[in-house]
Amino acid sequence: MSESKGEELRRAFENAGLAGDQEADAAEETIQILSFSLAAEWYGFRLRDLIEIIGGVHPTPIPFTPAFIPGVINHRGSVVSVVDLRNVFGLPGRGSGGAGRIVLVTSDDAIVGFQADEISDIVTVPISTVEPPLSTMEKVKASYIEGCIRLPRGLLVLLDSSTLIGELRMRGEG
Amino acid sequence: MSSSSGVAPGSTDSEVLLLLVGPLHYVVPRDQVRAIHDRMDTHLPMRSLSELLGFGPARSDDRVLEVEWQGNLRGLAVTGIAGIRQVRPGQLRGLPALVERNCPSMSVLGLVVLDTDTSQERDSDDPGLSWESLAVALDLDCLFREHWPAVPEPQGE
Repeated sequence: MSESKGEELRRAFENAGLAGDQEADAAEETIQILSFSLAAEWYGFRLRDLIEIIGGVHPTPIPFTPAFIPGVINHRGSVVSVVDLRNVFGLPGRGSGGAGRIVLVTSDDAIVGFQADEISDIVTVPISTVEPPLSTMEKVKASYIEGCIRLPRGLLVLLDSSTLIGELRMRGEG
Repeated sequence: MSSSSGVAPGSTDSEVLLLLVGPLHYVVPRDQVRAIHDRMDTHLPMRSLSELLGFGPARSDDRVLEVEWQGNLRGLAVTGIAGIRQVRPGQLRGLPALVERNCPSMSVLGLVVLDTDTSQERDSDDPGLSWESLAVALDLDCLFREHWPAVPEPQGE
């Protein structure tokens, strides 16, 4: 009997300890972000959405498509759309073309490539440090943005790949 | 209706392979087109394919494709001819959803993967490392209907 009671207490302590660990984990929940630069600004996608980063590939232009679509690429046997985020965000300069990198991101079973000037690194930040998009941002632009993170090197804009890809698809139907 | 298919690179900053689907009759060096039609006393309306597709002025248009449309020949100037390919319908791939929804033209049929360096392919089992090019398949009949429906009458003597 006493042995059984002791076992109960041990389990209770273990459970309490586990709950404590979970609370600590929740408090320290972090996200990993692939950061890249565009026109001297920092942007990022959640690492969980990243498929691959490729370089030295020139997209094949598709006639009659808008300027934010520089073309398509053949990625491991699949045809993938490539998007020029500079154009989408109205940033200065032209798309980086083949000189830069293409960040392949997945959303809802689709893979889309985004041109980047330079891939920086993977940053891990507590989710609590992700702030809502700045109120000064355009409403449309803000809808693509999951949040902003203040890093020592400057503000990093975390993009919501699902909303971004969905909205870019809808542009053609507007 | 007779149809033939050819692969002709258009001309932009980055070279674009186009697979043209339509009744192609002749491929003529550009500098000889005028003389040929003068001899035959015929008029060949001509446009740069690069400009017709919205890619801007071509760097060089050295060849002219003479294509039949509505009983008459018209010329499409292109940078060069990469070859004549027979393409099975199964080889034609649709555009990715994002591109398709943003492409208002019915003339863009899809994409065809062309092997451009088979020796590289043989050396690798990884399809991502093969040297394949994407060609944009265009329906010339549709392209003319959408973007070049009218041809001005030739100037009188």
